[in-house]
Amino acid sequence: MKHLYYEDIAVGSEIPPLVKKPTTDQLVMWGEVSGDHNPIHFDEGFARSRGLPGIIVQGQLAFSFLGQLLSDWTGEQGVLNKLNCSYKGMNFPEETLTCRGKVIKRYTMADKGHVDCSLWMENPRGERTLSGTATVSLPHRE
Amino acid sequence: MTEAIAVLKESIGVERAVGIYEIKRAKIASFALVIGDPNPLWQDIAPPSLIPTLGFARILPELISLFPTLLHGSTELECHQPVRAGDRIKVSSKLANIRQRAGKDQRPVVFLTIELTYKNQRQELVARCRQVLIAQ
Repeated sequence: MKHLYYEDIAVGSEIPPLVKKPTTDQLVMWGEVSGDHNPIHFDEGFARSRGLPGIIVQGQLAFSFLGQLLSDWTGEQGVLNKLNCSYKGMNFPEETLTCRGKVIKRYTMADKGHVDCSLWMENPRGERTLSGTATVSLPHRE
Repeated sequence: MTEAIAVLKESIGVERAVGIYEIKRAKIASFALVIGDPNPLWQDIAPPSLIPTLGFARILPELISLFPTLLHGSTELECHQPVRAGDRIKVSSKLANIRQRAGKDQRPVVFLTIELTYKNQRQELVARCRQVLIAQ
C-alpha cells in the first residue's frame, strides 16, 4: 500500500478523483447497513409523493464516498481528523458521481503534519451536489 | 408541523442514550463492501464514515413520523481515535437546535441540529458528529 507524507503535499494540489456510480441495489443495501430506512431512498412512488423527482441517494452514502476519496489518497498512515459536508443537491442512482478535492492549507501541529482540503461531488451535469472540508494528518518523511 | 416543533423544542439540550454498538469484523467488511471500498485498511479499523451510521436507525423513525419530508442538510464528523473491530461504541445524542424559516412557496422549512457523541468501552471519546436534518 502506498504512503503519502506531509512533505509530498503542496497547497493547491488536487486529490486524485474518485468516480462512483451507486446502483438502486446499493441504496437498499446501504439502508440495511446504515439504518437509514427512509423510503425516499428505495420507494419510487413514495419519493414522488414527497415531491422528489425520484429515488435519491442517501446523504451518508455520498458522505462515505468522500471518506473513500480521502483514505484512497492518504494511504495506510493517513488519519482522518475531520470530515464536514453539506448536501447541496440530490444525487440519483445510476448516475456517475465524481468526488474531487484540493489542498487548501498545510501546517504542523503537535509534531504532526495536518492538511486541510476542500472536497466536492459533481453529478454528470457538472453540478456540485456535495461540498465540504476535511482535515487529515499525515506522517513526516523520516 | 407546529405541534411537532413544540414537542421537539422541549427536548433541546437533553442528552439521551441511543445505544451501544459492537463493532464486529463482519460489520466492517459489509460496510466497506456496500460503499464499494476495497481498501485493505478496513479489516481491523472501521471506515470513519461508519461512525455516523451507529444509532442512526434509532433517531430517524421518530423524526420521519413527525415531518412529511426529511432531507439531510449536512454532516460534520470529528474523529478522535479510530474505531476498531471488537470495540463497543456507546452513542448518545441531543437535539441542539431547531430553526424555522419560510422556504419556497412560503412553506415552512425546519432545520434540526442533532449532536452525537461516541465513546468506546474504555469511556474514551472516539468521535463527535453534528447532523443537520431539513424537515418540510
